[in-house]
This record gives sequence, C-alpha cells and structure tokens, in this order.
Amino acid sequence: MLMKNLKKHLNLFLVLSRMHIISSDYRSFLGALWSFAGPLLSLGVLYFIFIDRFGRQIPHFPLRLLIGIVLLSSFKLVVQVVMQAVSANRDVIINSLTPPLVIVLSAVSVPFLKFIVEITVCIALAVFAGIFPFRNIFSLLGLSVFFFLLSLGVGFILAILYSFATDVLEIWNSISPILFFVCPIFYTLNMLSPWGRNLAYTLNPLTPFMICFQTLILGVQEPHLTSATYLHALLWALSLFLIGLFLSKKFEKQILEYL
Amino acid sequence: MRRKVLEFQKVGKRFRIYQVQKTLFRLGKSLAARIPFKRDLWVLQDISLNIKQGEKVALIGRNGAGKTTFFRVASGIYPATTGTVRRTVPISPLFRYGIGMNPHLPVIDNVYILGAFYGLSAGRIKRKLEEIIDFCELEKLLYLPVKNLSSGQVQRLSFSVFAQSDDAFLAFDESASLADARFQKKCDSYFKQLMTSDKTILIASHNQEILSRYCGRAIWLEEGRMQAFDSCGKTLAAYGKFCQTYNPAEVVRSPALAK
Repeated sequence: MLMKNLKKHLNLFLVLSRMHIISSDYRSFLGALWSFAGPLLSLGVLYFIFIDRFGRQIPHFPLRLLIGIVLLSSFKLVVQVVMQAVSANRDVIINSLTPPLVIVLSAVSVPFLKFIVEITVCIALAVFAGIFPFRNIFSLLGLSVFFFLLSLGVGFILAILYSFATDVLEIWNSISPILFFVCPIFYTLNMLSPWGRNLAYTLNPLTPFMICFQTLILGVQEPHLTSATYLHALLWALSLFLIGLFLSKKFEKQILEYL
Repeated sequence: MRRKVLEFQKVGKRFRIYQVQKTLFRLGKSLAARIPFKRDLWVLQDISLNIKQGEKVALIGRNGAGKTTFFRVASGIYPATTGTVRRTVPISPLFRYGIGMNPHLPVIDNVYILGAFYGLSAGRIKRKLEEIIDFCELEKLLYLPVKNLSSGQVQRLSFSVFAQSDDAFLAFDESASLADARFQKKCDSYFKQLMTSDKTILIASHNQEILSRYCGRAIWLEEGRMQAFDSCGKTLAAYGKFCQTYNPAEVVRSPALAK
C-alpha cells in the first residue's frame, strides 16, 4: 500500500509540475528568455547606481551583480510560492487525499526551472567572458541543489507561521527587500567593518551561498572563501530544510484545519 | 462473513474557530491578556459505526449536520479529535467537482490532472481517454480552456474521470445531483452498475429517491451526532418525519441572539 501511495503521489507530482510549467512562460525557449527580463532590468539599474561607488573596486562587477540578483530573486520567489501554495490550494487539500507536500513541491517546479535557466545564463556569460572554470560545473550543480533546499526550508517555516497568522506574508513582503542590502551582491565582505562582516556572514544564510556561487562562476578567489564557507552553506541549507520539513509534518493536520 | 472496511469508535471532531482574522498582534495580545482568541466547535460527536465490504451506505442530514466532515474524517483527510477510525482499504472521495483543475489549460490536459488527483496513472488515462471523452460528451471541446466550460460541463468532466477509479471504496458527497437530464440518465446507469458491484459505497445526497433505490443502510446525522444507523428505509422515514416537524410559526433563535 505504501508503494502504491508513493507511486500515486509521484504521478500527481509529475502531472502538477508539468501543469505549472506549461501554464507558465517556460513552455518555450523565448518565453524562458522573456522571464529573464526582470533580472536584466534590475542589473541595468543597479549597475549604473553602484558602478562608481563600489563597482570599480570589484572584478567582474556586472556579472557578480547579476549572480547576486538571480540568487536573491530565486530565493524570494521560492519562499513566496511555498508560503502561499497551501492556502491557494485549500479546495484541493480539504477535498482530496492529496498530501500538502506534493502541492508545495509541484508549485516550486517553475521557480526551480527559472533558477536553472537564470544561473545557466550567468554561466554562459562567464564562458563568453572567458573566465568560467569548467572544472566547477559539478560543484555548481551540487551547490544549486543545496541552495534550493535552503529556500524550501525557509519557505516551509514561514508557511507554518503564515497558517497561524495571516499577516506573516505581509511582514515578509515588507522586510524581504532588506535582504538585498545584507547580502554581498553589490559589495564584497572585505569592504565591510569586521563587525558588519561577521554579522553578514554568520547570521545571513544567503551570504555563504552568494560567496560560493560568485567564486565558482567567476573563478575569482573571494578573500573570505575557505572550505569552511562551503560547509557553512551546506549546514545552513540542511538544517533549515530539515527543520522546515519536520515542522511541516508536525503541524500538517493543524494547518489543514485552519485552512 | 464480510470484513469491516471502515470502523468508527466514539469518533469526535473538533475545530478551533478563530473569531477574527489571525494576526501576530492579535495572537500576542490574546496570549498576554489570556483572553481566548478561538472557540471550540464540535462538528462530530460520539460516532460509532462500522461499514462492511460491499455495503452501500447513505449519509443524510440537514445542511451543516456534519456530513462533509464525516466524509473527510472517514477518508483520512482530517484526523479524528477523539476516538479511533480504522480503514482497511483506502477510500476514494469525490467531494467537489473540478478540484485541482487549471482553468487556463485545455480540457485534454485537465483530464490528466483530474486523473492524477483520483489516483489514476497517465498510462491508464491514456488508455481510457476515449471512454472518458465519450462519457462526458466533450469531444468537440477537447482543446478549449476549461474556463470556457459551463459548470455543468465541468461536473461532467470530473465525474467521467472519477468513474474510471477502480478503488474498492468510493465516497460521493452530493454527487448524485449532476448536470442535465441526459447526463443524469448516464450517471444513473453508472450508479446502477456500481451499486450491484462488490465495491463499498458511501453516498450523501438530498435526493432520497436515489438513496432508497441504491443503499442498504443509512446514517442520519443531526448537529454532529448520529441519530440513526439502520436500514435505509427506516432511517429515511425517521429523517422525513423529523423534517416534517418544522413549524413555520416557531421562532428558532438562540437566547444570546434574543438578548
């Protein structure tokens, strides 16, 4: 019975993921490129704002900026989709035997694809600039998986809070723009004071990921990158994902009743 | 002797109802001031019964009597608050039409989506596609987005896919009241076939003619309590008598409201 259920849920996950993808822009190559317009527009604006103050001191500033924008926008999108997936599918969840986890995971298929396309464009630009170290491709794949786990974990935790208090989404929408300033997107960590550096590195789970992605794509050794940075990123991702998953399972039935 | 497929032992279901929209501030205030922010609503109380394999059981009661909650607890969507529910076979529920459908996608894609929700694999749907389309009579609209269908057509589509389910225990909530007279006739022949099969059926409807025609036993719920669980004829008669007791001159008002 367990195997039958697993097969049933896997089939549902695949069908729903396909549904999300074909009803988004990602059903065609041009559509996928069109969705890249947002990050490109942000890049254009931010490049001209920060080029004089920060950009000239940072190697490959535009590409570095683009990687940061892609990572942050993907993170925010996944968190938002996960937070709203259960409440947006209330009818399905209380009228069928569909596990909420299947609904949530299928809903993030589009953000996942969007992230893959966008990070591939970043890699393609690095290849075009002749700076991409091809030996890093597998590390990037692994890192992308962990980055996605981190986003899912934060999404799960906030989704639980959202089911208990409806203003959590509004609060998240108000405070998430701050992430742009506390992540090393348009600056490097060594531009900060030791105090600010420690704060941005140890308290922000996105920081180690930003540093690792920038290093792996640009092939430039970041001053603060050590093997501990990779470990730090993986630990953040695994711990937040497992906590989020555990809490989701623990509160699943209560959330169902609050829907 | 036929084995029990569903057993309720002193089952109760309580919902915690929030009187106003939950916000972090209101939750915090309620915790600090120790003012209860939610109240308990018992939707099902003290229900004990069992349904044997192959039985056809009707579920009757007024609006808000707890029929839908009974279905959800029986099929495992909601856990029971008190008592125990034992199921030896999975229950395939049809509580609402069109759940999970994507209104922007064509009918053909939505057949696969509905199939996945009802536990049918893509391969099985592919094999049964002609049968489904014949049953719902939507062959001319296969590539039309579902948002352009009437609600009756959506019902026909949902029912046609659900009818392919080969689960041993099916639960229908208000499912007999379907679309137009022509389709109703089709459903009648489906139900006739279903009711003579060895499948276990739990069906809720306000259409007493259908229930008395097909069901051997009936459960009558009133304000979340089981009033009767007897032969269909006896239970329907008792319920009919109860409905006749309504006196238009009688003012039904709670003391709190009267104040």
